[in-house]
Amino acid sequence: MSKSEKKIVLKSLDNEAFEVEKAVALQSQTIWVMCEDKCVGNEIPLENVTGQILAKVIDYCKKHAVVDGDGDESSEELKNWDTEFTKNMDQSTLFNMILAANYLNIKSLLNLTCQAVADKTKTIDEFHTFLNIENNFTPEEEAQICQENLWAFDD
Amino acid sequence: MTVPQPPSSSFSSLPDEITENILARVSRWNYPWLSLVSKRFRSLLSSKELYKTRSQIGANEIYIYVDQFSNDKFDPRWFSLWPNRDQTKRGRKIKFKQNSSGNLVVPIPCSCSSSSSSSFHSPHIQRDSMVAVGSEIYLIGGSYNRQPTSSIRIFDCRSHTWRDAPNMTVPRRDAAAVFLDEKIYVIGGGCDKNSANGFEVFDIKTQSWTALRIPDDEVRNELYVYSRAIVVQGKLYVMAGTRDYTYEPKEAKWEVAREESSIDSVDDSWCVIENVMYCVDNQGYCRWYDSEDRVWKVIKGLEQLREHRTRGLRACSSETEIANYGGKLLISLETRCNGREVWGEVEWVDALLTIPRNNYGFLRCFTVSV
Repeated sequence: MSKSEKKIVLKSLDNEAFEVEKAVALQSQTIWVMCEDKCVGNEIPLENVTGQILAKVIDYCKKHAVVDGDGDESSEELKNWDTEFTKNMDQSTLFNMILAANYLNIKSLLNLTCQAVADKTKTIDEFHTFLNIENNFTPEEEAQICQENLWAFDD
Repeated sequence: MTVPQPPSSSFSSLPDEITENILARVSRWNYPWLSLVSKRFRSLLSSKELYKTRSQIGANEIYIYVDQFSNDKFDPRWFSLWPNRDQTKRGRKIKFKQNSSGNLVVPIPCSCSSSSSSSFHSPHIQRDSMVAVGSEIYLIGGSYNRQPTSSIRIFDCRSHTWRDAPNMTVPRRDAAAVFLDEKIYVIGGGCDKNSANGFEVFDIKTQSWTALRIPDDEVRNELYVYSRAIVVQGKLYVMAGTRDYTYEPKEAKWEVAREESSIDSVDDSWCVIENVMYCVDNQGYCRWYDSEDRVWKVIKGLEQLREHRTRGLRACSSETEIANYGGKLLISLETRCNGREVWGEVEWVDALLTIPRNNYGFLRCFTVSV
C-alpha cells in the first residue's frame, strides 16, 4: 500500500478539510461503509458535521487508534484522557459531539458524550436548558406525578 | 451559494435512543424528578428499553432487606442505598433525606408488610433463602403462620412489584439458595426427613424445578438439616453441620472441601469477591478464605472497623462489600491482595438505618442490576 492510500481526507460541512490516517478515520462505522461502498477517492464529505466538531472527533479517534494499537497497557490513562476530553466542553459542543458521534457511528464516543451529559446535567432546569425543551406539564399534572412518587419527594 | 446550517441543538433533533442512552446513565433515584422534565421524558423513563440499556451499561444498585417485627408481627422492609459517589444535586422543590456523608437510604415504595396482602403476602424467611438474579430478588420458600411453604416470590427491583414463580417440589422453611449459570440451586430446609428432594434446581429459562439426587447418604443427611451455600470458582460451596462441601454442577459431583465446617467461623455474612470468599466472624473480624491452606485468615488493616465491635456485619457479592453494624452502619470495603495476605481499607463508615433493637431480626444486602 502506498503512503497516499493510508491517508484519507475528511471534509466538514463548512468545507474544512482534515487529512487523517485511514486507521484513525475507520473507527467511524459510517466512514468505513463509505470507503467500502463508494468510489469516493480519498476525500469524504461529511455533511452533518462542522469543522470545529470534526476536529474534536478526530482528536478522539487519534487517541483511541494509538492506544488500541498498543494493547491495553494504558487503559487507565485513556480513561483519564476521556474524562479530560469532555470535562471542559460547553453544553452546545457536547450536544453537537453527540450528534456527530451518532452520525459517524462511533459507539464509544457516543457513550462517552452521553455519560458526560448525564454527569453534568443535575437539575430539571439544566435539562430544560441543555436540551432546549419546554416543560409541557400543567401544574395539576406535575402535582399528580409528585403524588405518585411521594417517597422521592418526601421532606 | 447557500451557507449550510449547523445542526440545531434542540431536543427534538435527538433520536430517542440517544436520549435513552443519556437517561440510562443517570442514577435511577433521579427518575421521579426527571419525569417532571417533559411528557416525552416521562414516557422514555418508564420504557422497558431503558432498562435494557441500563443493564448493558452495568448499572447496579444495592438493596437492603430488613427483617423486623412490629406489633408482634413479622414486618419486613426493603430499602435501597444510594451511595454518595453517585450523588447528584436535587432539582428544585425536591429534598431527599440524607445523612452527614451524603449517603442515602431510600425506603422502597412497595407494600411489603404482611398486613397488606393485596400486593405482597410475605413469608417469614431466612437470610440464606433469598437470592438476587439480575434485577430481581427471589424469596425461596420460608413459612406462613409457621407452616413451611414451597412458594417462590419474586421482587422486581425495577418496578418494585411482586410476582410468583412455580412452586418447589417440597416445602422448605430455611433453605440455602444460590444462583449460578441461569439456575437457582436450593439445598435443604425441608421438613420431611424421608424426602429425597433435599436438593433441587430451578431453571430460569424454562421456569421449571428439577429434583437432584445426592448419591452419598452421609452428604444427603447432613445437607438435609441446615446448610449455607455460596458460589465460588463456578462451584457451590456448601457449609454443612460438620464439614464443608463443594458441588460441581456440570458433573454433578460432590466433594469434601474442608473436614471442619466453616459454619462457626462465618457468623452470618459472607460473600465472594473475585473468587475469594470473605466473611465476618462472631468476634467481628473480617476474614478471607485461603483455599490452599483451607483456613479463614484475618484481613489486615481493618482494626478500625473491629473497634466498632460489629455484630451482623453484612456483605454483598460485588466489588463493593457492604456491611452493617448491628443494623446501624454500612461499610464499603475495598480489598487488595499482597501475596498470601489480604489488606483492606475502610472507605467509609456511616449510620444509614436505625432500627429499634427489639424489632431487629436480621438484615441482608443485595447487589442487583437495574
